[in-house]
Amino acid sequence: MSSLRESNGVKALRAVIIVITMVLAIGPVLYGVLLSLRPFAAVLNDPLDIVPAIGEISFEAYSQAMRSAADGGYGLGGFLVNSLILAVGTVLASILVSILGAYATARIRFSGRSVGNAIIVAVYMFPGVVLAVPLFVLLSRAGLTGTLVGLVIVYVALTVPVSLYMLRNYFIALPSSIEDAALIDGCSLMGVIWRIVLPIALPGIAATAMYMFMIAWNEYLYALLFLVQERSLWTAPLGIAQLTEFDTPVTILLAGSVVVTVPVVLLFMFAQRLLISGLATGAEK
Amino acid sequence: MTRAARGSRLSRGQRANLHGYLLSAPSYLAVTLVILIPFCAVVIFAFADFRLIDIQQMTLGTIDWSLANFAKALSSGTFWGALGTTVAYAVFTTIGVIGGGVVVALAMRRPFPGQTVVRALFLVPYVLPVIAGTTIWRTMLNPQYGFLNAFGTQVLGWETPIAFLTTKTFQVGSVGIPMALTVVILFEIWKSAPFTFLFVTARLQNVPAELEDAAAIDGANARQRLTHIVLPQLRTVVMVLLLLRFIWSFQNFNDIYLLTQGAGGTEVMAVKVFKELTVRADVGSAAAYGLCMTVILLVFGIGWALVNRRKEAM
Amino acid sequence: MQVNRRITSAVGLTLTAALALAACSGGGDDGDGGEASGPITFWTPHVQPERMAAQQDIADEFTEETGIEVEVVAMAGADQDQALVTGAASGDVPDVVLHAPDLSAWQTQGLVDSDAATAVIENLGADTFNAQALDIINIDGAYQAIPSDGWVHLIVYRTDLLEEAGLEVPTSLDELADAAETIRQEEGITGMAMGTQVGTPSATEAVESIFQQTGCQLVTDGTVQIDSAECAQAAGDFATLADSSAAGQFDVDSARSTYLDGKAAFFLFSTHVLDELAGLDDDNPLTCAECGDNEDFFVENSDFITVLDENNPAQYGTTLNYVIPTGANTEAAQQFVEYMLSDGYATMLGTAPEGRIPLRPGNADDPTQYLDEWGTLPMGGSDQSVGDLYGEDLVTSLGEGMNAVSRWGFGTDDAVLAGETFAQNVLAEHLDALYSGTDPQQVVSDMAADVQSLQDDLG
Repeated sequence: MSSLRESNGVKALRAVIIVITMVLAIGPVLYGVLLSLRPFAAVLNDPLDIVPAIGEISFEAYSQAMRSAADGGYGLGGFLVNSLILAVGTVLASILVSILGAYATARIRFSGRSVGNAIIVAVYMFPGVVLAVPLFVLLSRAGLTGTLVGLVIVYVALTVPVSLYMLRNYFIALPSSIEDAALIDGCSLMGVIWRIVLPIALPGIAATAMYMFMIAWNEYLYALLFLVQERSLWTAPLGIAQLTEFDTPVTILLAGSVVVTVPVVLLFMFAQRLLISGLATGAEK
Repeated sequence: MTRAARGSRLSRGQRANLHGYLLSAPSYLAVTLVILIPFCAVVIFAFADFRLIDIQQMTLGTIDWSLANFAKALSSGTFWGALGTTVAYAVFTTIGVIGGGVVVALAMRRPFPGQTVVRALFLVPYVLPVIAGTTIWRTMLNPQYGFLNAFGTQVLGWETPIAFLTTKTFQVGSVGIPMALTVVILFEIWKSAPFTFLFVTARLQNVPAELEDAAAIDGANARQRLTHIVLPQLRTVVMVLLLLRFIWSFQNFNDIYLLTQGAGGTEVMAVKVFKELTVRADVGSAAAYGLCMTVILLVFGIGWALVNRRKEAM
Repeated sequence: MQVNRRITSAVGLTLTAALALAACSGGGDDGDGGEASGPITFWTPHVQPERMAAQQDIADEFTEETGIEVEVVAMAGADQDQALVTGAASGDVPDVVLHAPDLSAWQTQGLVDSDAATAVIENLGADTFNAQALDIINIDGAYQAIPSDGWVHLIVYRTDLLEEAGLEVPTSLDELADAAETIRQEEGITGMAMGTQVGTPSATEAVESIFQQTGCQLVTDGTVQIDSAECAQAAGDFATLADSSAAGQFDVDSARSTYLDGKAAFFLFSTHVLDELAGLDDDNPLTCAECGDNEDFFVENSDFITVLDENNPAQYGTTLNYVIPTGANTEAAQQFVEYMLSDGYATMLGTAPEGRIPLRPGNADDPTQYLDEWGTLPMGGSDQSVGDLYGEDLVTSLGEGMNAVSRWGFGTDDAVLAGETFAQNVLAEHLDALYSGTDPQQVVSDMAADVQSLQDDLG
């Protein structure tokens, strides 16, 4: 970073931008968290008073949101478990598939790989909504509609292009001399990938995995199309969106929103550096 | 770029091909199965004249090929309306997301105490699941109990609360603002600018300090250093973001649907396709709308590639 | 060039795959379509847990009687639209769907088995059904579904507040608007609480409900009529009503909570409010100042206008109808529907009697059997029925009120246009202009222009 002096005006401008951004970025989120701690009636009566009084703070909205419908709650706990299964399944499958694919495109000169790359980029030009009907027909023939497995397959296909791209950039950035040596020593290709490439590329893989997790955790459209009939399989985003339609008090919806956010934020705090460097490597290429 | 260099019954090239195909097979399989095959079916649906109930009996031999779906779409005002909305949405979010991210990244360039924490907090809207973001915004903007309207009516003296998410045109004096559309655009900027911020910050860290120092010694002031040294370094990353952002915004469904369900003049193409599909049960029409989206994006992508190639050649 | 050839062959490959896909779709007529009495699937929009349990009980009784098993699936109306589309595409449809009468899209796409529905109606006796309800689901001269039950809008008013302000019970829309304005000015509280939020479904409902009171029509015989003098008059009154709010624009929820808080004199809502007024709904508690001492405050101090203007008896409302989709297990489905409209009828209506007024009032032996039973059904988990709380007169007038159920376009060739106009909140989008003082005639002309262009789009 340059050691140049700045005028006070520039300094002030920087400070103002940072403060404003700060308020805009976390203001709404704080607002949501605070409201979720207040009784709904209090929110209705005085929308401006967003900081709950000490005696007013209540986690009732959370417990009601999480309890299953049988216990008089909104069943969000179950939806979260579904989301977790789905996201973890997607990450594992997608990473496995794309490590192999990314290694191939980064390291092996096989004819036709540029076509493959082009197809995968072009895939992003196809709007997801339109694919829904044929995809549904296809998966129902395989008996996979209304199951989490069907959705995992869809999510894998949705995430593979990005994760291929991210991982390929990692692999290209890594020195290949060790791999070459290992291959000459008689290691099989899978052995090389498993024992040599994976350990070195672990930070990149973790960053990619996190990104995949966020995509799968967030996804709403396909969950809506594929799972709407199976209430017991609803994901957290689908569950909250559905509850919005049925007169659910806003404090419950906000409590649910906070709860779906927590896992991602934790993960993100944990892996922030990885993600930044991961994305940055992607951006350089 | 290397590959295995050792003796084998297969030739090197054959071996490389085999390995390459085997390793990338799962990726292509997933993409082919879930995206390419359905897409081909979409093309067929778009050019076929059929009722939904007949899909089961459809075979290539019996398809009644027709341009009716396109003729109907292209001659309808809703199509062009949705297209206009989508383009406006994509253009303004792209500009806002990239502009916002770059400005904040530049402001955050110099180290200051607590920078890491501040940077992490900036990323919160991006990390926040869409459903959480939309729920919070819907609450905040609610005419009855939302903070913004309460603030407006009680503190700023608005006469009535504003139904931000459902008002198509809001009159300020003689100027009409597309209210709901503006809100969904702002939401997208709020949510996605941190993504640009991440990219740009990473790139800025790689701008060599010597360049700027040298320019300063040559008498360049802060603004000149910014426009002549720093910004040109961002060109590549901004171009990549431009492509990605435009494509994503153009197809965005979740954020808009979860905020407004297409009300208040926010019916973008993706929402329109969804409604053709679910409300009208018209698969052919939905497919035609979707194909048009794809064509537009392809044109944009090709244009982007051409512009970039020319610039790079210079 | 090498690359080009490869792209060509890749595209060729995927196309072949797509054809294979299309081809193998051809033979698919499996599933539960063919069997005579396999298990059947029933989609119901009554998704609340206690209602689900009640419906499952009826289904079990049906199974006991016929040996046909029934899977009851909870699915809200909008989700049914979407799930039937994906289901029909993959050949996996439910056997019976309880759905609102907006069936034109399904009918156009061939998803509805109107022969099966007609057979049930004829078997039960077309004359045992509410004629208006049958008319609504008659598209292209054929019954598309079998009417079950429905609700209508009521104008609820506070007798004490009207008395205090010296107001008569209004008998026309003009009078209602004047009364609401007077309340706002004299009492300082909301005159009329109803859905007024620009561009929302809440307001779309309110517009249709209020506009019909002057005899205003959206469209008749293919001609858009929303710019008529009646509609302009209604629009003017609508603006006055909306302006009588002391709390800005309402959606249905906030309108209800305002009335239950004692802060409104008039309140437009469906019959579902009947249990809520009595404090029988935990989700919508009574919050008014007087309610603390007197739980029956609203029952004692509320009265209902079922038909506002005798010259234009048109009650906004909706009906629920049993749809038998194409490809369903027809015979078993028909048996099930017949059971639900006879032996299982009272229990079914009992899941929420306040919102489910029977559209088959009786049978050949006793023409009012089911309506009478309905009047005694306890509401909201209590032991009080509509008859107990509000008197037999209301039961009768609600039963008759169903004859005035009226929705723009339903049951005519204009149903598609009306349905789209409703679904897209076309009219409610114009409320903004109306509220900001634009001449009502101008507003309805603008509405007409939008409806017209929608009609052109629909072709």
